[in-house]
Amino acid sequence: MNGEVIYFAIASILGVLCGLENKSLFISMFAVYVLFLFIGKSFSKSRISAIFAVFFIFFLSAKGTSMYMKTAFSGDETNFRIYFNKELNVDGDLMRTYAADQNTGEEFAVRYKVLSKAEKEALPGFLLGKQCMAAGRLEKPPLPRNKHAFDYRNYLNREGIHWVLKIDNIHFQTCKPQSSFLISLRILRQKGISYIQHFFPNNAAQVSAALIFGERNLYEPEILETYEKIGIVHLLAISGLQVSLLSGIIFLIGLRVAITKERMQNALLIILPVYGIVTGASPSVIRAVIMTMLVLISFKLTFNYRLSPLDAVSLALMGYIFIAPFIIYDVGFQLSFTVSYCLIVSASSILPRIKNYILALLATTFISQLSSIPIVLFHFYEISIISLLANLLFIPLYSFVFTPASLLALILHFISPKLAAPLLNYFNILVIYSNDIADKLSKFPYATVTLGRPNLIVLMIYMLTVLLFFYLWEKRGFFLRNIWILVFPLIINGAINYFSPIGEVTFIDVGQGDSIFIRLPRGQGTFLIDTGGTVRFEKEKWQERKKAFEVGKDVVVPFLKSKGITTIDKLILTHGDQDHIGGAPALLEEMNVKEILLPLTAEKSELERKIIRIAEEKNIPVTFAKGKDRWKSGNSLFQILLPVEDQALDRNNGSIVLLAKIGGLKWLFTGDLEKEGEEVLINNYKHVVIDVLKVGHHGSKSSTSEQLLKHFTPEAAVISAGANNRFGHPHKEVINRLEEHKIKIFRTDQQGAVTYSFRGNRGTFSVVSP
Amino acid sequence: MNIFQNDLCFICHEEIVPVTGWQVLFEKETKDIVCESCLSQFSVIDGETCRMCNRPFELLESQYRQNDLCYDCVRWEEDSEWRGFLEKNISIYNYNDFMKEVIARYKFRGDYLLSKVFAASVQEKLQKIDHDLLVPIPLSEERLYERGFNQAEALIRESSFTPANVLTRVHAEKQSKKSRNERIHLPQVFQLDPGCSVLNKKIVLVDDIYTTGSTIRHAAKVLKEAGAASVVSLTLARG
Repeated sequence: MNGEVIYFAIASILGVLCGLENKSLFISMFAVYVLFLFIGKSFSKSRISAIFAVFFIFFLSAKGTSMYMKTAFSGDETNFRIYFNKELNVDGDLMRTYAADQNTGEEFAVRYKVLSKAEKEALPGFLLGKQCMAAGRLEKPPLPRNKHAFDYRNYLNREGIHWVLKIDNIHFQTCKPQSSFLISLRILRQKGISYIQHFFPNNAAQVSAALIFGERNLYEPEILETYEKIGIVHLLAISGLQVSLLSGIIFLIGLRVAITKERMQNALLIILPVYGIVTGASPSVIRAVIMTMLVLISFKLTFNYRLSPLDAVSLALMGYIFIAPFIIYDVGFQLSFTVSYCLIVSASSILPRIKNYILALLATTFISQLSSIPIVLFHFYEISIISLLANLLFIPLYSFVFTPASLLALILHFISPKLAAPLLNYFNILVIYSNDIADKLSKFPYATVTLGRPNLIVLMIYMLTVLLFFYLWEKRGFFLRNIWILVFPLIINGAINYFSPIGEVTFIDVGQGDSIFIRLPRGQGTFLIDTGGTVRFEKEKWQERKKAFEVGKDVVVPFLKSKGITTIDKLILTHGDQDHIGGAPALLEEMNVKEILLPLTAEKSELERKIIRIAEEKNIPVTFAKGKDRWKSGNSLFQILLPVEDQALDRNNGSIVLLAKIGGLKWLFTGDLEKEGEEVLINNYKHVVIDVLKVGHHGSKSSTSEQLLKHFTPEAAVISAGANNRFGHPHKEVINRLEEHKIKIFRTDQQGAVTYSFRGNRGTFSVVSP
Repeated sequence: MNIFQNDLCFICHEEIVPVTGWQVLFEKETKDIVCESCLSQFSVIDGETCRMCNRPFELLESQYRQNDLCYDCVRWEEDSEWRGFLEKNISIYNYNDFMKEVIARYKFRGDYLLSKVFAASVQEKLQKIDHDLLVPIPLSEERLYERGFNQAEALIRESSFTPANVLTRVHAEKQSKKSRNERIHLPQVFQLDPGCSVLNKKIVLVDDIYTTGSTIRHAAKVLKEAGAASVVSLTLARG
């Protein structure tokens, strides 16, 4: 096959994308590709027709798969007989899994609130492989509420899942086991993981579960975050290397005990898929397993023909996306195949030239990191600079120390726990040390660079530059002038972020709370009014999630990063309530904040004091804002209206009220201002007229009085409130008042984030879910 | 596309493992017909060579060298009977053991396909030489019958050029069985085909190997005497 399958694999990817995404875009890409093959590679007519055939077949297969995905449920059903055939995750008091409806075979995403600590411990082991009667409700998976936010509905739909089944009650007495080979493998996996979890010391257990079973759930989220920051999280996945090493070892052991080569090949063809399932069947494992199997099969079918790795990875890719076209959206899939391709192509040309072991490892890491940059940027908005160093350190550690140690420890522990104890002890200490080093590395300044999600054109520039770089590296060697071309897309990306002539005011959907992001055009300034905040309720220890949702960290920061924002010129915290400034600590941790504005008040909330403390540690100046303070940024004006000095009001009414002229409109941001504060506002500012009102206090009954609307005469109003919030915000009366004044209403609780994007003095409003 | 079979090397008949690399991916395909290991055994002539016969000086002891000429060429050019006929010889490969084996298989054992192995490099050289006619060294009828093809003519044809068969042989004894002295003082072995004109033509003589230069010089002499403007020779190997 002479390394040619790759050209067909590319056609198959374009075919699938054409079937699932924007047709005209991918048809034109395919046209360019065919032109390249015809002119650039002088493909014969018959080969071009074969390329067309592949494109068309994969287009049809993807199209067919996407049309076939329909639900048989209306959403009103309440009783189900479901089959728990997938891995069960229990985090705190929430069990998450997937399960199949017994009648239709349709799969649901399943949520179940665990009732007791005892249930929590027994549940995973009990439910897997059983079918049970359960009562619950079907809910549509939620849509994304902010731009670039994770689209859970789309994600599930791609898996053929249309509903989230929220189980109220599992009728345990109705459960009966239903076994299959597949299930028994999954049960084996679950048992293995809980064995490690119970008998290994905590830190060693985390590493072992990841390296033996591909399970990362034992990790503390903080450690995973550190690993992500320094770009070594891929080490916690079962790698292709591991699969081929394992195959090699099994093969050699077989030969040693005098089993024929042919028999060992047959045995491996059975062992490999089993291994794939036991290790969690992640895309990278599946890729490695298919590749190894293909090479074995090619060996069996012919006399000593060895499928080249390039053909093997191409065939694996084609087989994978033919059967599961939606996998093409999976980050793990994208990374695994991209990095494999780049390493395989470089393996026979670039890498053999490097004789020094350390340099070769460095080059391998560099190729992996570089090839993954476009994908990483698209999904995570930032690239890790320190990763080169970190990988150099951690790859040998994981490959040559942790992996064998994990396996050895498990085997020894099976034989006798006493035997394994000393090894586990040292292993555990080593893991703790290594986590410590990872943590230190992640704290390096500029360990990561945030660039935001690149748009299609920038993304293409990234990909082409990376390919060009590899090409030049192979042709001319690793020279400084070649490295310079890598800087080119970074500069374009940064320039687009910074010098964009388009500004925006976005009311981020933070649920119940406020957070308003203002970016002025051409780098004139970035401001954030409030950060949202998650209100937490007391729970028992066993009920607490490993990683509790926190809106600042999980919504606001990712939103800013997705836009390539790393610096906030002024963080304006209107008042001390959790739902407005609860996310501030996370924001201060992740963003470079130049100044914090807090309202001038007599009494500070505990949260405000905490933020002031953090600001002191980070040397961020804190200004206590009061009426008449003003500043100008580019063409935009900002003026603080409230609080006025010497007027003791409660916390809500002591909110910072900001008047701003941005993008040709006058905005009034009122924080949680209520009737009392509104009166002060009206009395102090007699001749102010506005265009857009940020409705005070999430649209509560006590705010946005008739007088206010009459006085300021806004034409549009934005209400920032949580969907189905327990306060009933916004109140019907407020909505009525706004409607009476014929004010256009935008609501984050119904429409998701609300954005005004502008160029010069003209702009338009848009919402995430219209 | 052979699904489970790679192409076999024209020389050693082992599978050719396809090369992968970034250049291979993006550039026009070149179909390899010889495997890496065979390719590595060819020794391409480079470095300092005799101005006239292309003999590499590094393989020659210094006593056989005079300035930029080898002693062989000096002797040819001293001889008034031979002076000035051959302008220059160009050879591509050294006649090492591997080349010896390949050429023997090519011409004595009739492996015509090996001409394809050399086609690309012959073509490349021929394109660089300004010429009007490409004249292969002819075989006698008897040899041609024995071998089935003229190895020199095959090289020209496989390099997508047209040979001009303007010479014929008058004598028919194998050159390789003779000593240098015998070769030099041989009566003329070639004659111009009657009806062919080489008047004022720039000619490239093509042969498989240049050993003493006798064959080439005999042919050059005939051509020059018939009025050729210049005679240059291209040979695969320099013995």
